[in-house]
Amino acid sequence: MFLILSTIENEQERRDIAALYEQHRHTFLHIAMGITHNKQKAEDAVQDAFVEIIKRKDKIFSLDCNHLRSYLVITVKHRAINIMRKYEKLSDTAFDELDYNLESGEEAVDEQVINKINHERLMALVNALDEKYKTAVEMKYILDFSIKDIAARLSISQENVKTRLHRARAQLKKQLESEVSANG
Amino acid sequence: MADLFDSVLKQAVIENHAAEMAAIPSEAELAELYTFSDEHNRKMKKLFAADKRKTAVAFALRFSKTATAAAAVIVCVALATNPSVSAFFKDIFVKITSGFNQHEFNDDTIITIENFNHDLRPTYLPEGYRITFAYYSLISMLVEFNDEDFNLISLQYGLANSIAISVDNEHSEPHSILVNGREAVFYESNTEDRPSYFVWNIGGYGFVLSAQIELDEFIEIAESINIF
Repeated sequence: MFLILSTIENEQERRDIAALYEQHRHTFLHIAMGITHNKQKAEDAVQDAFVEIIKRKDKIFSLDCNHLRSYLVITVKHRAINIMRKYEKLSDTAFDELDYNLESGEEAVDEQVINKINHERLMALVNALDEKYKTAVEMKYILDFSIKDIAARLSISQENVKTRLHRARAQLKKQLESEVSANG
Repeated sequence: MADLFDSVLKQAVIENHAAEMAAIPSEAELAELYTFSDEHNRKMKKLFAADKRKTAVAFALRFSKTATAAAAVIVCVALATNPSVSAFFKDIFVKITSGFNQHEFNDDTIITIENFNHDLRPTYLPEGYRITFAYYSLISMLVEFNDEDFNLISLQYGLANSIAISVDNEHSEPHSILVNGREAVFYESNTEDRPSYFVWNIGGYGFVLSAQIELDEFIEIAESINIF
């Protein structure tokens, strides 16, 4: 009985994923085009994204409506970034991990800096983050994914995820501190 | 302080993302800007079709504990009254129900959970196929192979004396085939969008292949799986 019931649920999920694709496919292509600036690469990104989405369909339907849409968009963005990196033959995984091993513990942000943070300015700085860091940050803070989940979805090691989150935070803190310092 | 900064950062990330999402034009507006290539539409269609076949395979293949002795007797009696069916499946008991044929195996080799081999794989596959998914339980294994067009070959196997394999009989025609000298059952699909199935047992394992390929490919794949 269990297998019959689970496959009925899986059939419903499959139809929902196909429906999700049909309802938002132009949005996904638009998101991918924003990164690849090439239609064929953008289409490849959408295909890659849905290969991944179908593999994880039993998990994604536990997300609420808003998180689901965010997850789909972030997944498409990530796949578009991957394609561009392959196209440009960039490989920074090992470099990320090396940097993490060399850097020591994270320093706390000064209380004075936190009190003076301009929220809109911080949003702008987040928006300007390198896409690979931004994807990890979005998965952590928007989708509440664990390090392990982020690593699985990005196909990188957990250490690499920690590195990217660490670098994102470090970059933002450095920029904020210098701005607060400059403004007095 | 680290927690406070983290909270501030989280809020900024969430609001920035919300602003990005709000800035995306509507699907209707984007549909006027973008069209998809025929190649992309074909690949997406194949992707969803492959997923549909995977679901259909799971629906048709229900691994369960073996029937009780009483049920087995009932099955054997039923076969005896239908000589053509009992002649087809000498070592494979077939229970014919509405929608499915359920196969139980009579295998001289006993494999236990402790020595179940999860690494049985075909050494032959049609050109372009590679392994893309594997899932195992204590008494069964599912392995999937795809080519670049997302065509799917699914292999499932389990302990022959502990499983029953059910196959769709509404959209296929059964044929008795020999694999390595042993009887097998080939369910040839009679609809364009459904796979064919190939059921056999050997070495203590019951197997089923599902794919949209020709019979000779099924036989070659089955014969290339080395149990010993």
